Amino acid sequence: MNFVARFMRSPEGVIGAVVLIGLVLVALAAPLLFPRDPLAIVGQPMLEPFADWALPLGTDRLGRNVLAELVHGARASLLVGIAAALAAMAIGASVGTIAGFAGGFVDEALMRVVDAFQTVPGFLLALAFVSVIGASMPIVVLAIALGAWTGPARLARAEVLSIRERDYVDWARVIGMHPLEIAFREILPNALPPVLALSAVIVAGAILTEAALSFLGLGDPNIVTWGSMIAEGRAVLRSAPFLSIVPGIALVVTVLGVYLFGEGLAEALSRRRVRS
Amino acid sequence: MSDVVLKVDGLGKAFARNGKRVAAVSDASFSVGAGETLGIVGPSGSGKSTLSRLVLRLIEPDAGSVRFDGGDLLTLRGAALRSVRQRIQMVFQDPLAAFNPRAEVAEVISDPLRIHRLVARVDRPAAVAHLLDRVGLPGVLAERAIHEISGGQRQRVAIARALASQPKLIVLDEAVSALDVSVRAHILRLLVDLQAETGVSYMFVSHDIAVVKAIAHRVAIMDQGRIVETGPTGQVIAAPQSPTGKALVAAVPRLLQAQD
Amino acid sequence: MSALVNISNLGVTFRDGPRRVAALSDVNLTIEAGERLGIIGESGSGKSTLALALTGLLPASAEVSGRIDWADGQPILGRDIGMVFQDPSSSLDPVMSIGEQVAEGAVAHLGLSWGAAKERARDLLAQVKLPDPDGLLRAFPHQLSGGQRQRVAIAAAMAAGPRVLIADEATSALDTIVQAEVVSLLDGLVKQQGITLIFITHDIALASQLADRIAVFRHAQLVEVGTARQVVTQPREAYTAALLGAHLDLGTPPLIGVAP
Repeated sequence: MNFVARFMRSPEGVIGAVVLIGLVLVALAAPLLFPRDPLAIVGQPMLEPFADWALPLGTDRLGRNVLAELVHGARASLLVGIAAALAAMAIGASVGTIAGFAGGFVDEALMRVVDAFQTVPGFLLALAFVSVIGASMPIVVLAIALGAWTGPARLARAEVLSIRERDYVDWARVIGMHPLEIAFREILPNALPPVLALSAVIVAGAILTEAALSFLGLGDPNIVTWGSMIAEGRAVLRSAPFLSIVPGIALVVTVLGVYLFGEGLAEALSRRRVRS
Repeated sequence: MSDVVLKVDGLGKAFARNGKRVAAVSDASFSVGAGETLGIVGPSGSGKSTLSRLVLRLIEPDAGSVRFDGGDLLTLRGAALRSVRQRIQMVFQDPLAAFNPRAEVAEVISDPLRIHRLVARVDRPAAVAHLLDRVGLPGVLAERAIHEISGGQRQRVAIARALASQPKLIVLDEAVSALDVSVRAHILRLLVDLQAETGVSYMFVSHDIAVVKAIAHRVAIMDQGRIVETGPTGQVIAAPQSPTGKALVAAVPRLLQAQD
Repeated sequence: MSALVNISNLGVTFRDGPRRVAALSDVNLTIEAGERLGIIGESGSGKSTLALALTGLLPASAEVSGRIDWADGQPILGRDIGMVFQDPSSSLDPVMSIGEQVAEGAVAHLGLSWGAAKERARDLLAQVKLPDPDGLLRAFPHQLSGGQRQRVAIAAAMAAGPRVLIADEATSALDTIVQAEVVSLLDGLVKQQGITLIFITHDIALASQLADRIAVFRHAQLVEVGTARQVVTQPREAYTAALLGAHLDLGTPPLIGVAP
């Protein structure tokens, strides 16, 4: 049975995949659906949702189209979330793998760095990083990745340590395989699946961290994000709660979708491990 | 006896356990001649597996010397060690654990050919087919994944991989213990035939002296890290001298006979 | 002897992806109360599935047809049936003391207090010939050797005084010396207490030493059943004869010629 078929057997995974595919399509289609700048003023301010079908979700304090902002915000949220997670996994898997292979002093040194990063809350780290260097998309991505790479690093190291002891790694040594080939051909591919299963949790965390940074006004000011929308709405929370609730719901649905997808991914990966 | 392929002297290895150092192998000395099979038999925990890992340089000994094919095996490092590995191979107990779960048959058999630059890339498929044929497997198996073939086939593929670099010595660590009896009989026959063809030597490690009797010219009995008895197989089994030897011989299950 | 259980037309299938695979098909077998029945087969023969079917441990995904009729009503696992598996390190709880694990069955099924059950556990540990039963009550599985752990597993299986003991490859992870000891222990226990023993193994010689009757399984089917003597000395089926032919013991002529 192939990987897709195994994935399809988990209902959580399928629901998550449907939600995520929908979101990605919306994000990709944003410039087609709303070709105008989402930050442009299109109507009277603080229009309630469903009052005008041209502006189905109403307008914000400045009279901007909430639906257009939401759709463009999906781009930012998904992009930042996925980019930050990819960066975190790449850094983490490399550091963890090197630590696990090398052992001894290299391992000790690298793992103390991991410890140091883990003692500081990831959000605080991102906050400090962005406020010092300044808010732009790549910096926000890097800032979030800096707080999230330690999990993959620990997991990759633990996997490598256990795989290093397997018979097939011994046999690779016995046939005279070069240590680097053993590391990258025999060990790494088998150490990756559990690290990949962690990706969903990291993407979801990254999306939330990005929203929190934007909420605090530390996001990229030229981009609409759901966090900045919630922050905008906060000032008029009593008179127009929908301005905070709508992007809030979008955030919940996205994070839930990512988690469910990750759940399905982990299950499909573990099924293969049991089989092999 | 003809040429000596492996000569082990005073080999020792201790592991730290609960803060104490426990000897897994102590003062082991033996030799294996060209084209000869030496059986290493002992109860579990007797150190026979550690001994085979020491000979293969998978772990480093604390004491003693290992001479292989005329050279000192223990002083070799890096590329020199990897190059000697062409001539000393092994077969594991569990043929599933012995292979990378992602591997394919052709890949694992051609690995030694590629690493030691024995066969050019274009000629490797033919070499793999030839090796499969020698271990009694059809050539079409080359394209299969390791997890798709049966346990008996896997152990044949393992033997093909071990043979690929034309080694002088193969260490077989409980290589038939996990197999069904009918498969075991075929694999033992295959090993004997391959030895007759190529003159390869075997160091055959097992807990079952009946299996060792079928295949080994000489036997060394281990207990608690030490070799307690050695001699020609038939002689040791007919009249074991050590208590361990006697216990191993007495413990072999015997088929109920008509006259029992 | 009276029948303990009547198995008629028993079939068990498991799901493997879209297909259903038969693990047992059309098995008819009567097990007598107080007998020692050896169940023989290679991997995939269905011998372990039979044990699971008898104990009601089949997974929910298994489809069962046919009947299993117990003379005295469906027995309860742990109370009426004791079970010993191949790997004692996975069947014993690593964080529970030996005393608790052995006493557990007596508390659950005999209604003993923990104090009385611990007394019984100590007696059982002495019965399975473990040294220092008092000290062992407080020990943990990792402190014991494989053979000792298997004795603990046997003591735990016996705790509630079962009528039937099922040993599923209970000695195949042990070396031959420990295997012989555990087999003689099982033999003594079931004889002394009149327990029905179902001894599942791939080793026909081992079964022939211990069992009154032997049932041979292959490819999910019962090939033949008869007294141990008849099956071993006058097999009716070619497959049984092949199994016997593949068996190795110290009487088997070696595969190799004289030393080179």
